[in-house]
Amino acid sequence: MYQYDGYDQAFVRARAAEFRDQVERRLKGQLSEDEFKPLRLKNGLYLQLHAYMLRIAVPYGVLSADQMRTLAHLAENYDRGYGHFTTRQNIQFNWTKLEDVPDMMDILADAGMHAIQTSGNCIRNVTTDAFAGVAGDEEVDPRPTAELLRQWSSLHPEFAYLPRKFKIAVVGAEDDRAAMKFHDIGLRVRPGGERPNYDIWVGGGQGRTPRVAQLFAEDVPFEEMLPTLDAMMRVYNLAGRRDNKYKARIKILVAEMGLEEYRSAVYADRDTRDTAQFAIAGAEYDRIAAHFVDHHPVGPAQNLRLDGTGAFAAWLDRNVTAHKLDGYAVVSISLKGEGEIPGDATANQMRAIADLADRASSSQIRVTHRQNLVLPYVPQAKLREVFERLKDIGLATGNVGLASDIISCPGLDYCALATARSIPIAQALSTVLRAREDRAVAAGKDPSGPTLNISGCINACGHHHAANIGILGLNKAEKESYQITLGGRADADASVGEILGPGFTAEEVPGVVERILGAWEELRYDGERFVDTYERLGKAPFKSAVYGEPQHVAA
Amino acid sequence: MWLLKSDGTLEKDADVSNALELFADSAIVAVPRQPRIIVEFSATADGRGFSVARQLRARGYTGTLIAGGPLIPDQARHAFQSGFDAVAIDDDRIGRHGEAAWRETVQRATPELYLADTTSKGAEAGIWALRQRALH
Repeated sequence: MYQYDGYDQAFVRARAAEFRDQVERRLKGQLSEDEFKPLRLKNGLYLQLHAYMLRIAVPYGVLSADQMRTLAHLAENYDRGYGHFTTRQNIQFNWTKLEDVPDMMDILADAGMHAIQTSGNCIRNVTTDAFAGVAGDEEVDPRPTAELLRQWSSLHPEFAYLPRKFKIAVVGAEDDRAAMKFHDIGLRVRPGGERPNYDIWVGGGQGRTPRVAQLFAEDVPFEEMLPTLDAMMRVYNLAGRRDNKYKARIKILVAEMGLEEYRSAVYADRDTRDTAQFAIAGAEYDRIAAHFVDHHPVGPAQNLRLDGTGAFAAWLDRNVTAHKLDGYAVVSISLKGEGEIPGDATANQMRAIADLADRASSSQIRVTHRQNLVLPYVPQAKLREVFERLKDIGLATGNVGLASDIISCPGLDYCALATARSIPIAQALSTVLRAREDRAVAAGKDPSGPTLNISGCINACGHHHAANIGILGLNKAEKESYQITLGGRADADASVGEILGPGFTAEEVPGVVERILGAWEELRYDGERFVDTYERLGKAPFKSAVYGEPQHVAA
Repeated sequence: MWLLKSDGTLEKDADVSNALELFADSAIVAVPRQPRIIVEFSATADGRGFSVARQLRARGYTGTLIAGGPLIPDQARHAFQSGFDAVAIDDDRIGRHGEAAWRETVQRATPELYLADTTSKGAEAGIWALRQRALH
């Protein structure tokens, strides 16, 4: 993985010192709250319902064991002993004090970490496939590109006060494991000449107006990628709407201008620029890429027969994925145990995972966009040991990719923007869904099901639009009301879910989801996925399963 | 009016009345011929002016570019690195943020960027350039 050199180290230390000064000037009243707000947001600091929340960057989801220990230290000393992994592969602490944050930044800088641009109207943490570099189907490792973009966008002077936040994702395999097409800019890395080529996608996003990204340019050579992104950002900065925050994302600009006109404006701007200055990115790409040639221990070099019984078998089946190297496996650690809060981990769990990564995963850990963790380099001979250790810390649930592997935002339990609770809904659903999955496994059946995501407001941090079953918590007449969408997906065939009908109370949601799953079980062909059944039959049969016979729905 | 220049000096009683006034929210049609331009930002959080400066420089403007409007000390670095020569500051903001905060902002800001733009008026050399020079 990427290791900071003296320049990177000095950069994050200087940023930590700059933020300390900003906090001091705020506390002295030299900066008003309005002036301080964009400054603290650009350092990941939100004012939530009960306290300041600090979001720390985990660039493209890659963590070392020592960095995970640093996070455990922060959880224990500056929070209430836990942290929350997010859909953008970051981690957030919900109970921080403003006065403590400068010290936290210094501790992070010592570990080669930061909170640069994890919030605010700027280019956010670049995300990627959590299986980058180890997936069997990968064409090009997306991590060097993601690190190059991290460096280019960090403290970028011109793109720090954009109309709205800006999210970039990079993938290098046909199977999209990063929801790339739901990003403002998505890059699909392809094999090129000396360096890769890129398909550039633009205008994807969720929120109030969900959009799947459109193809901006295909097979762009490496040398043109940064000059093109530079001009794409500039046209957005100048022409993106600033009159309405719900219409300020680039997806709206591209929709209003039309893709053709936006593209012409971008190329017209690029033509005025001295693009030769970007040439240095080539040598930097090569330097960065050399860090990602993983030096894993010489392994058994042969695949073992993986089998087991009971919970170990289920875990092997669901949480262990084929590695590109023989003799190794990719282990996903589910942070979605029955009744647990999706994405949460305690300091003790973080430390145990760090120890496990040192012992059995070349000291590397990943954070996934589905709020789980990954041990990317596990020798197959150590799988049993890894499972047992995860069981000891309560993280051996074998449900990765199943319906109970729920994405959920923090919702009204923490978030100042939320209109409804998300976490208790996720917890209640997880209990119902785990029981269903256990029954399927006991009966010798396939426990697979739809993806299920929950957002506590229209901003869609819980990715409900992109789920096979999406749940959106709204506030209707002072009461929580949960709206169901069906048919969304975040993979290479990305699409936005359709609203099923009128909303439900929190208590009704688990029963409604069970009725949807029951209808699917009856209607599906043998082995058919939920999205395929939905595409084949549309929402009518699900609607009647949920709302009863059509004549009763009139009200 | 005060002027904070990209070398960190703060000039009191500066006269910017002879500068051509452009608004950051209107597109540039042609590059002006005037030797001094002041680009007015409409709000602290509205960063269009940074791109206006970059575009003017990219299209060959070599005169003096001044950033006007409600910028705060922490944005001075952004202005210089986007191609401005100076930031115009009214007495009210000098009073509220403190003269020292304006005078020291360039020293207090993170001194480097990874890629320094050729149109920048800031002090950064660019980490990518420094690194590659050290490697070869």
